[in-house]
Amino acid sequence: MNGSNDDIDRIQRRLTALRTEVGKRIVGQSDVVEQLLVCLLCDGNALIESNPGLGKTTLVRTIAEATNLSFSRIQNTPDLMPADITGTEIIREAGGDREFVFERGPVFANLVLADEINRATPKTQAALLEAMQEKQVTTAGETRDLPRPFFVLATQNPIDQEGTYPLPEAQTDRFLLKILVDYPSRDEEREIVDRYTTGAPDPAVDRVLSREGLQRAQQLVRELPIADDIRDRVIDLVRATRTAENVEFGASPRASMGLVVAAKARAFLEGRSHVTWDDVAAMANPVLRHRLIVDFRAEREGTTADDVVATLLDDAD
Amino acid sequence: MSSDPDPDPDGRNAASGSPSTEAASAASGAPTAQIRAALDEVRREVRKAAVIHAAVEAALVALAANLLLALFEPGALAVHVRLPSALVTALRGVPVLGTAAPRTIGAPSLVAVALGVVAFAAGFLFRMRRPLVEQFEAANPTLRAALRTARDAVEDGHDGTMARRLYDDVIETLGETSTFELVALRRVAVTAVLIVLISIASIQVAVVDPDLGGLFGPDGGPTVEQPDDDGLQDGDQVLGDREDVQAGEELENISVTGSGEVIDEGGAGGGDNYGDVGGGSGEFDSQQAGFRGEERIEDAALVREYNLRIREIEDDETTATTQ
Repeated sequence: MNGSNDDIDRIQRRLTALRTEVGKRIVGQSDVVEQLLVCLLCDGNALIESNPGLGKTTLVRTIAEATNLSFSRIQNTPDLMPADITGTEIIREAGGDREFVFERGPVFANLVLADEINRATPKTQAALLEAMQEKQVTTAGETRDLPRPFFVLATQNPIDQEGTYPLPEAQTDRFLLKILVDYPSRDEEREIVDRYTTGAPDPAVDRVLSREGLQRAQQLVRELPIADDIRDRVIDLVRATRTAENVEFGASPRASMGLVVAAKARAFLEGRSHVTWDDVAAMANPVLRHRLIVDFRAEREGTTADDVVATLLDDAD
Repeated sequence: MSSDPDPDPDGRNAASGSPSTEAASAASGAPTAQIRAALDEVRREVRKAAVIHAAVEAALVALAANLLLALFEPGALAVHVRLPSALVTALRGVPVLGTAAPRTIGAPSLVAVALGVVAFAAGFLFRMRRPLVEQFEAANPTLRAALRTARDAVEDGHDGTMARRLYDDVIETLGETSTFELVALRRVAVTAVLIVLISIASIQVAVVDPDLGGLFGPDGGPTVEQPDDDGLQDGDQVLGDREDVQAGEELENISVTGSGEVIDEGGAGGGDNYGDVGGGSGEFDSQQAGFRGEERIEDAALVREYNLRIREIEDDETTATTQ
């Protein structure tokens, strides 16, 4: 074991500790936590879909606390303007002088929770998604870098679609993962009730991973080797979505890249230095489900993108 | 604040590239060479396992062929082949064999050995057709993904931090992995049991010497039961091919010198055992010719023909005398 291996071990131990810290506040949802951490390790953005009241904000805030990342929340509404997100120039008086200063918007944070992104107008969505993609914003003719690391975790409400602006397919492709948050089990729900109805303060969360540590982890994830045959199978899987039955539009090459790096991140999170097919299979649905458009007939019969991906995974095995 | 006993929560060492990391980078190539050496070792072990499998199966094939040929005794293989003198000498050098080492080998045994050699070559080549490392991976599924990734990473020349970590992991795991998994123990054990059984059957056949080839006659029907001719050699083989001799033209005096005495010159038993005649000096040996059932029938027909002719002659003479 050399120094490099010690570094890797240390970071992997911290990631394990991060999951433990999140578990202090979030009951269950281990898959969701894992996928969120994968997203952080990939330096990607996630689209979280869940019904209200399932602890999305608590989850994201807890991760921000445990990783010492700055956190902001944007509640999207139809009247939200792009400048409300990116920031705007205001006139400030100082010593009798007036000057324009840039007032940073909530997007200037490491971890941005964009609640109900489909309620914002397309123009505002585009501003947010551009920031997400370019890691910078341009206001009043000046380009400003966003803090690193930078993550956008956007939520969508699957019900109550009236008055919403669904994200275009080209926009959803920019999210690395689409994470589905399901209802907790009965025991988990009882634990949630017991934990948060006694008047006790929220459990304290320790800072176990720094920004630099997270960025180092992201770098190691990119360096993690993947076997040629697994990489080729990933490519074949993504390509198969384009010709699969019941699929109107398949996934793009960006999905191939996303699936490979997500599998690497999962392997790193598991403490391994190589990718297995299990990593790919575990990340296939979050990476591909929002990039597939199931055709009308299949949708009418109840077929979902997850069903299509599951079938393709079976074929690939 | 942090409950993590591990210091350096900021990960500054990790982010800035620690001296140890740089030192590891300086020693670039060493882990790659170790992985290459480990892969060579893996290939050697797979070859050894292939030799074991092929050898056991070849032995089974050779013994089974030998048994079948001994049972059915095909006529085309009823010959003995003289062994090379060098081989005979070598065999005599074996303490167990000594002077009892054979000078000839039966054609059936030779065919069986040849089949065994062919089976060995075929079995070995069959196992060599698949990449050797893949065979090792198949035998050790827990190591498969890591080893395959390391193999690809080495071929692609990866030497990053995670690649080095992978190489270390693989080398460590390989050190703990037994190549015993490469040998299909159940298959080898079953083959070994079959070898023992066939060996026992071969010994039994050598003692009893049943000729299953005679069970089915030329027309496929049952044949006349053959008399037991244990200890007898084939008459044709001893006497040679049958020739038509018209008449002798040269007269030669032949004298056979010998020592010893004639025992029971009267020939009790009608000379069935020529080995008893003139024994003692060992200068010449006698061999009783054997004969088969078909030959007996053939001879009987000849005797009958002679008898008929003799009777005809006698009848003619009697008729002439009475006239």
